[in-house]
Amino acid sequence: MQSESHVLWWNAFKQGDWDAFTALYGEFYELLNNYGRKFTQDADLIQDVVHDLFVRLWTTRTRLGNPASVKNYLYKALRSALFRKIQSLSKFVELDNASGQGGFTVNFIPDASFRQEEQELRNQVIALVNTLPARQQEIIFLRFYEGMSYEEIAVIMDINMSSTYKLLYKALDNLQKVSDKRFLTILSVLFFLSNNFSKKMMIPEG
Amino acid sequence: MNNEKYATYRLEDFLDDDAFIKWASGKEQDAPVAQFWSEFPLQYPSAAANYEFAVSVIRTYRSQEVWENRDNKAHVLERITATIAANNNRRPALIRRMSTWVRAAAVVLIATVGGYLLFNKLGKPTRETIATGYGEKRTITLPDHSVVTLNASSSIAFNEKWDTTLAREVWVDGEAFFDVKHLNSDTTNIRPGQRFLVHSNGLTIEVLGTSFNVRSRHGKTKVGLVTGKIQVGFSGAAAPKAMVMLPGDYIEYADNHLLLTKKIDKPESIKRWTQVPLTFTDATLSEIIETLQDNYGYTVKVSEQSIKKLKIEGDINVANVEELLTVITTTLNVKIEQPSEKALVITSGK
Repeated sequence: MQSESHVLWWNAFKQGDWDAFTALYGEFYELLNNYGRKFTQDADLIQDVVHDLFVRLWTTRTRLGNPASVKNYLYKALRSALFRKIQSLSKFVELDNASGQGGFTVNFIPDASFRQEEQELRNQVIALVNTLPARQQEIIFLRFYEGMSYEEIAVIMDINMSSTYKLLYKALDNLQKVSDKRFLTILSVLFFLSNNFSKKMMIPEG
Repeated sequence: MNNEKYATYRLEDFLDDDAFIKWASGKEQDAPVAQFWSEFPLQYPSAAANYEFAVSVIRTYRSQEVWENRDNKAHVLERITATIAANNNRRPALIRRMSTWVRAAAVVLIATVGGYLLFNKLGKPTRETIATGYGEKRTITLPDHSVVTLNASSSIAFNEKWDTTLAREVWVDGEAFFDVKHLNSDTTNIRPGQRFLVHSNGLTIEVLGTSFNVRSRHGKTKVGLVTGKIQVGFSGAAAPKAMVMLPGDYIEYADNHLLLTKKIDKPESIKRWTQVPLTFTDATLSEIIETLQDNYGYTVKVSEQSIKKLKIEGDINVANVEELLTVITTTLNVKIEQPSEKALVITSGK
């Protein structure tokens, strides 16, 4: 999982190597922006948080440990810094859920490259994902887009393992419920799979 | 890797499987593992339908906006540097130790905005250009030991000596397949921020350790990615925003427009031309004619334009032009005459 060069840059940066520090910045800037964008549309806010994050990394470098994954460490740091910032601005920013952690929005742009049946499936997946609460959408993003394991997601989102599973199963459960309600006419495959879901759902979680 | 549990895998088992998720989202770097998942439907046909559906769900989900904010990348780093300097924490000497990354970014800017001429002027003493003739293919090892396979009637240019503080850059005209040596895999000689850039007809591909194909003919450029990850940037004011490509992604680009973006079912097929002399998949006569002209220097005439649309379904893998012509005449209702060595006339009917 961990890329060799990330470890080398991280170790060199902790010893005060400025080039290694900017290499880490160069490597992760885009990914952090893309992740941050899901929490807020405010580009300046994201840039401020990325700025603060890297300034703090440099100034506290001698006290930093060796994370299992530099990328995940930065995701987690960005996430909590972003939440703190959003909370401190909460007089001005409307929060979309009670936890005060803000929303999570993936922007699905029209994509003509899919074949028709895939296009239909895509619309359904998007519709289903959009019905989920923010934190469940975030799990789906980290899993399907970033390809992360449950353990990694649990660390980044600061939730324990069982709750990670619960959230994801809830998400899948929601997917299935909505698909039953709304998409009675879609591909027979989806019905088959929905059945699979319900079987699983009868097993009590955790 | 044979494991009985896979035979009865359901959708949720796939979505629950960390290894599958890692592969399906394009993050698996281990070739044997990736191959296991690619060949899964053949190994476990009973779970193939669920597998395909799980792949589709993830693939359709992954088609989403990528917001990288690259325009502000240099600016935010400047701010970080200034803040750190103001805090007096081992102030980095700004100019001399300016990061390799920023310098690399500057090089790209010059290369894409200033273009070819400027590079020629600066880089001329050490510039190397390798070109292939009609019907010729060559494999070239670059100074960093990355390997490029150059198709017929194509050329590649690069600096003879590669400055370790600058981005590695090559210029391609025609078609080439790249297998790029992973950045900084040499642990004793780390060069932070080093990049690998491929310029071709108005677009720049930024490589992050990978293998991919670029084909630039008649003002149209086609890029297909086999493994790893690349970012494609487009030059020109009206050009689209840079995009990140993942394995199997394929694009066509011309005149500041993306003509096509799609997923290829078998990414490996993109590079088959590097192994088989002449290869096509579901090709139209028009595509075959293009290859005969571009790669072999033939002049091809057709009796009427409509026959160019004729299509040969399936794969064609042949050793030479003669065999290719035999395939065409036996598959399609056409006749081929050869008035001279490098000229062909195709007419409909037998």
